[in-house]
Amino acid sequence: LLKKSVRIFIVLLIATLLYPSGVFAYSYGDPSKDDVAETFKLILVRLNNDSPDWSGAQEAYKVRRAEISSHFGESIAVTLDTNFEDKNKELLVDNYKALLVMNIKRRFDYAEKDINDYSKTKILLAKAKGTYDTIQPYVQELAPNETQNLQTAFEKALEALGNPGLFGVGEKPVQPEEFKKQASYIIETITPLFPYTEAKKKSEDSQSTPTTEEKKSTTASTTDTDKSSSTTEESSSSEQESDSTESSTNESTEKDSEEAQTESKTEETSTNDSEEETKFDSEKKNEQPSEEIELSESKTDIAEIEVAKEESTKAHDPMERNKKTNTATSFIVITLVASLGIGSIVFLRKKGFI
Amino acid sequence: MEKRLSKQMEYKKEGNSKLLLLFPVFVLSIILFFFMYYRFVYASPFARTWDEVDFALALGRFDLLAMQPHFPGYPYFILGGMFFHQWIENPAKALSILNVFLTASTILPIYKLAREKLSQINSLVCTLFVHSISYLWIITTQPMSEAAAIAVLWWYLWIIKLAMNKKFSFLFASIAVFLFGSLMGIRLSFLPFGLGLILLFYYHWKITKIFFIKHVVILIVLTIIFQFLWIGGLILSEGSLVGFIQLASGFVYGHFNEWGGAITTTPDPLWERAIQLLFYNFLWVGLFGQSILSAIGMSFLIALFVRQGYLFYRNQPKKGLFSGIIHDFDSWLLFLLATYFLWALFAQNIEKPRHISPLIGPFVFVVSKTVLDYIEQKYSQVKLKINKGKKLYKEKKLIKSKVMTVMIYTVTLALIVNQALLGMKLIEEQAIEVPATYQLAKDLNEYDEPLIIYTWEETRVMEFLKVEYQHKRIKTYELFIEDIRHRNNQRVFITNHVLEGFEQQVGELSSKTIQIGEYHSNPLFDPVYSQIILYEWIKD
Repeated sequence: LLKKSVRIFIVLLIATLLYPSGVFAYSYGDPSKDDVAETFKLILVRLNNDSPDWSGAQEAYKVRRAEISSHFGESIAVTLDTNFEDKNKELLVDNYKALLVMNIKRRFDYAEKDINDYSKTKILLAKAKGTYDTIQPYVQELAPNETQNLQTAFEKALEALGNPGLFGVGEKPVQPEEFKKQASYIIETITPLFPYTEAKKKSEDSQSTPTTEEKKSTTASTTDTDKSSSTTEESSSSEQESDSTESSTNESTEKDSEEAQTESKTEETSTNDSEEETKFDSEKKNEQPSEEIELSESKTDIAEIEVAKEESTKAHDPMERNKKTNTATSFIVITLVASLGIGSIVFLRKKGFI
Repeated sequence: MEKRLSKQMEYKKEGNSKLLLLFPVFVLSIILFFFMYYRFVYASPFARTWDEVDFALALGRFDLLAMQPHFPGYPYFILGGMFFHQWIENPAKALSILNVFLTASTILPIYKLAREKLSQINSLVCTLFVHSISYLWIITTQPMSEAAAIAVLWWYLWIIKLAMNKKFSFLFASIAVFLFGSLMGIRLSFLPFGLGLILLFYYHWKITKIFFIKHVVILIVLTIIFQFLWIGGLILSEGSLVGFIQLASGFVYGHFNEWGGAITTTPDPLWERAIQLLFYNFLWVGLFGQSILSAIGMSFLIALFVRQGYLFYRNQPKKGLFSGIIHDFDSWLLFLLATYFLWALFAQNIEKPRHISPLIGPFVFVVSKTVLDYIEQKYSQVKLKINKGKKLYKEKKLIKSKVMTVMIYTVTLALIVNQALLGMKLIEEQAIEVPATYQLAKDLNEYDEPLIIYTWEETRVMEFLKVEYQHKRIKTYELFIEDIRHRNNQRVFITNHVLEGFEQQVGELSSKTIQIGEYHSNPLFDPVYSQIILYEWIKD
């Protein structure tokens, strides 16, 4: 029985040895990443090429559209829609930056409301900081003297949230006033830097007849999906061509096409989302989303983080390990040394020392 | 038992040898204390890697979300560090000192474990041997949680052995459970050693018939309570349970999905990983301290150990093999080590040799214990037979076994001296040599004009050092290009890691960069960021 189990063990060992691993390679995730900001990065990456990938950028945006519209109002989503349709890159990027400022404000507002819920405020502040870090280079360009102050303001805001400490060691109280002060300083400093230009014609429509506009937008998005699903094949093939001319690796093209497929899937779900969202809006006519939404959002946050992360990692991290310790040398050296040790034992055994 | 008796007889025969025996005991103890003192003096004051910065920052403000420390929190380790931080200003040094203190405490369990079989002197030699391993010198004086966890592991192993010695001891079993809780609160990745508890419970059930279901239930409940002690501390530090669960799942999903640091998502064949883990990380770096001399000496002892092990298993009755080795603590220990090895192979980052550090001490312990035990047995056997009067024939054997004794002692002492000197040199270097990451951070401070540096993990050290200039972590080339478009008033620098990453994405970039400086430190202390090349990016 023992022999048998040993044999099975050896077979299993060899089988696992031959199987490629690396699945378990790990690092730590970052829950402070903000989806709205991550989408901005995706859009930038796709538009910054010599030949901007508009459909790809719009798909990235579509995933986030429902969230944007429910939190910042449909008019902003519509403005971004029109910017995409006009292929006006500058206006789109500027508006999205303004949106990111609103996003920071949103995180601060909810943090102020729940100032005593430490775990919640901390995540909200981290997301605000994550969003700020995305637009930090532009702040640096527009107001170079303010970046240091803003950095310390964020640090002070974190201090103001208090800290339960580790087993009570290092406990600190909450300072709501201090937090409010720092938050409003940050918002007041960066808001004027990023003006928001609303798209003219459609925004008027949306203000006058919001319900019809919503219907329009949903129908528009569904037709869009039809279009894009037919164009994804084309776009991916064109991508392949352009990529090969850019002499990038085959892997990346494969990844791109995979991504296009997955995104066309997620897009279908996003249309469902937009339907749900219209229900949401009809339930609450007033623009400001209530706490319930925020709660449900915080639940879905984690899931969103994952999705966004998978996307972004596929897109951004075509890395390979580049430095390897020389396993072959150490193997040979140690085998030699080991045979020396074994040899000496065998020798001693023969001479009767052992 | 027989062996013990014979040993006592031996001592009595030599009459006034008590004083003679005391002398080496005294010397060996002095050397052991000197080891600990030396580590105390050269405890590393640097937080040179991302992980070390995580720990160091946690002493000031414990905040899992801000990755100080990173998940899963290491709460007891941080708590211990906070204690020493009261007197030691530098948080990194406070953690190193904590490690040194805890490691010094392991003298007792190691000595006691060795004493189960060996004489006083040989037990001390065995303890000294374990503490002389040069890689453990480095680990002990670093502000990482490994050394603290290894220290608790020794206590845990000793208590398990004590529990095994009794027929059934509820007290020792519950202490073992408590120590396992502490171990997990210091370093969760030592999880496989929990198998020791299961083995212990099984042992009691198998050996004694008085292991009631009542005891099992109480012990399991205790296990859960002791684990929840540190988890509860984490939850409290996070404010609420929901917040903690959110955070944890956020980290864990990222943990296995996202690429980061120095590891790969491209699959390496497992056999290659296994070879690197066993031959490079464990044997070459861990056991031999990258020294050929140690390698030769160690392999001699290991070969003898393997032979003794083979004899031991061969002499077990074929059918009752299992019931024979269940009493053998060394077999348990080796089984635990093998389990941890597989765990390290599958679930740990093999780029960092410190992940196999818990294997080194116990393995050296088993080897040296077996070898020293071999001498003692051999010697007493021959002596016993001589006493019985078979003089002429045995005289020859006595000489041979004396030669063998001298040889093994020589090799062991030479190894101890070699490894310890190496270890001392290394921790001196570790405490004095400025890490490459620090050199880079300080060099950039010299520039007067505004600048930004893009890095991988070096940014964390800059954050810890609170440098004046801007620094940012970046991986994607397109994002980098977008980022620097708006940096007209800043000089732009990147490190070699960033550049290599970019070149994998878009191809050759040497025409866009100028090399500015190069920074080196010993890769033993930080395998990934010990060599940094600084480039300036030429803007269009």
